[in-house]
Amino acid sequence: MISKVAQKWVDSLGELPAANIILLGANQTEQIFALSKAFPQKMITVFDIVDFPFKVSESNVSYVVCKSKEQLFVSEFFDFILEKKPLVITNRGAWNGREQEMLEFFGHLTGRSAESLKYHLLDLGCDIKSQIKVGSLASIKDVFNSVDTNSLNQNHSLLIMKELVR
Amino acid sequence: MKTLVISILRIGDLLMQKPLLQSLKDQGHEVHVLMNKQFQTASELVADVVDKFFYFDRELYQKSAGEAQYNILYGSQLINELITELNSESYINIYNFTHTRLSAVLTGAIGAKTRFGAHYLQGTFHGNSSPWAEYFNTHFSAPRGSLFHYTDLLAKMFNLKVKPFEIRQRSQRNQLIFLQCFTSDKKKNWNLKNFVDLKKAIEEKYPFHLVKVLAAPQEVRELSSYFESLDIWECDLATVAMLLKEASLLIGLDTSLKHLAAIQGTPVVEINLGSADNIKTSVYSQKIWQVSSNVGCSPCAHATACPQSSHLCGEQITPQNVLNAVQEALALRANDFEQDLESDRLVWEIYLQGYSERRFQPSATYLARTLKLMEWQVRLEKALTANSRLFNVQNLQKDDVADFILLGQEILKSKSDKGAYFLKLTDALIHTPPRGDLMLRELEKAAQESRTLLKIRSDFSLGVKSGQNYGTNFEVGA
Repeated sequence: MISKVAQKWVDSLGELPAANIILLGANQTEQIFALSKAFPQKMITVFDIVDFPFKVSESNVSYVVCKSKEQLFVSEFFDFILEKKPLVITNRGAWNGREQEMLEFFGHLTGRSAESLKYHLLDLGCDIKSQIKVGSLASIKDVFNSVDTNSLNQNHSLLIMKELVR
Repeated sequence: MKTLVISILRIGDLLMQKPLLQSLKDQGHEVHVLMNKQFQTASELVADVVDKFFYFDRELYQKSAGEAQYNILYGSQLINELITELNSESYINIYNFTHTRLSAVLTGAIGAKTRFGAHYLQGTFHGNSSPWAEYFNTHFSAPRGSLFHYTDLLAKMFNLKVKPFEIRQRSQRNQLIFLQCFTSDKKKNWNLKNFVDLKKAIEEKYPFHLVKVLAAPQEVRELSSYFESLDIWECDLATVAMLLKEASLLIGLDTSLKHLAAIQGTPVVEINLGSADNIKTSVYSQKIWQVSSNVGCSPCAHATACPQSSHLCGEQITPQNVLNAVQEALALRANDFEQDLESDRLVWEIYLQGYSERRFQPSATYLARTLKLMEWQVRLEKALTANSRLFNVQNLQKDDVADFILLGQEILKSKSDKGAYFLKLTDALIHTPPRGDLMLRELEKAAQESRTLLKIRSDFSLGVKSGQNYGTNFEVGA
């Protein structure tokens, strides 16, 4: 049985084009259950910095807990992020009192924090500039500014993205 | 021979490219097309000349770049996957029909033995140096700049043989006439009240024809305030294609629908307003019927709002003007205005490719226009000689180039330079470089081009005087 509140939240997400989804915030099982039922073909990883006792046991749902960014960047889960580049959706109702930390992790999980962006670009085989400067969350233009010019010219997909946002 | 065509513009562009795809097919190519995913439904319309389609999901790539919930490299990853998929086809050729920076980078990213058209490789753009590519770059985006249709220009750039779509016989069509009343650009629209009056006038003149309004779902509400609901036919692209195939006539604005009618062999009366151009992107048919305005600002620049206080071009055209064109189109009587441009096309073809296969018999008007153009050329040459001091001017002011500006204004106002012989001159004046030496260089380049074009034109005039006809396979200096 899916509650109206949970269903409303899932409906508000619209279509999710990526095959892999990270849900940031594990503290609302009703929403997680509703999400798993709404998108049975998608692999959903519920991510949090706290290990909550109640979990949804659906075949397309798994859980990951990381208490620090250092732990995240050396984890297999981060390798999975680098490989699959999942879409990160948020359930702020499950963030109670942890907003600042969760927002920081949002940047790490989407590749939009300076450190995470560095790892993403290295994984792509790019030579990066000595210091990566981004705002609170990196934009695609920060990507182009972070990559060495020669390296950028050799990366077709980044060049195409650059033209798409020109 | 496996060949990929990059066609990542809109539906109308893809439809106008159909003769080029047909030409490749006729040459024995296995034709694959990469097109925008958002227009995927249009692939059916060219499926008879394409063996396989791939889709470029531009909207998702851009969305992923702009929305924080997407991984920052998600779009890049999807593009990589697309390139890998395309590379697995091992193409012999890639034709870039899109002719943009984006498509050039994409063309360079996909492996192939030969690339035709703009492509980006090892930090440099290639494929833009042929005379026809240069003509496309400088003339196509300028209002009244191109004498050649989009399809013909691409065909010349890629050395492909094309021919306009044939109009099907009247016996193969029914008594339906369709109106199409909206474009995505307000300045290209015609007042809906005019369409209502036009519909009434056609129904009175042709009582055995049915006149209906084609509508996309989002247009129905507004149309309902003007037309009976039974007269509004709401339909998707596939249904429209089917309806147009049987129809007597489409009367429409500058949208992909007119190109769809053209490829189905259905006559079209085009109402060309705003930036809609009578040549560049008209229907590519054997016979065309057009209604357009002659107000000074028409056609205006693409993608800018109407600069006038009221919609002058739209206001000038009456339902009676369109009805006149409808009568011609239903009788399949062709307009002859095209003849006027043939001399200019011939001159440009000789200039750009060294020969022309056009048949053209110059008239007294042709000679008079030649004299007017020569007069401007003489003034340009004199101004260049008189202003050689500009070479040392570091910070160029408008007064420094007043002679050229006056000449340029006269040329533009006269509207007599239909062949765009002086386009480089007016371009140089609009984008005045800050330094005198750079400006002089641009002006000299412009003068050199118009000098050569007018030499060809006057040689041709001399031929006419001596009774010769150089219209076929005329070569410079022959």
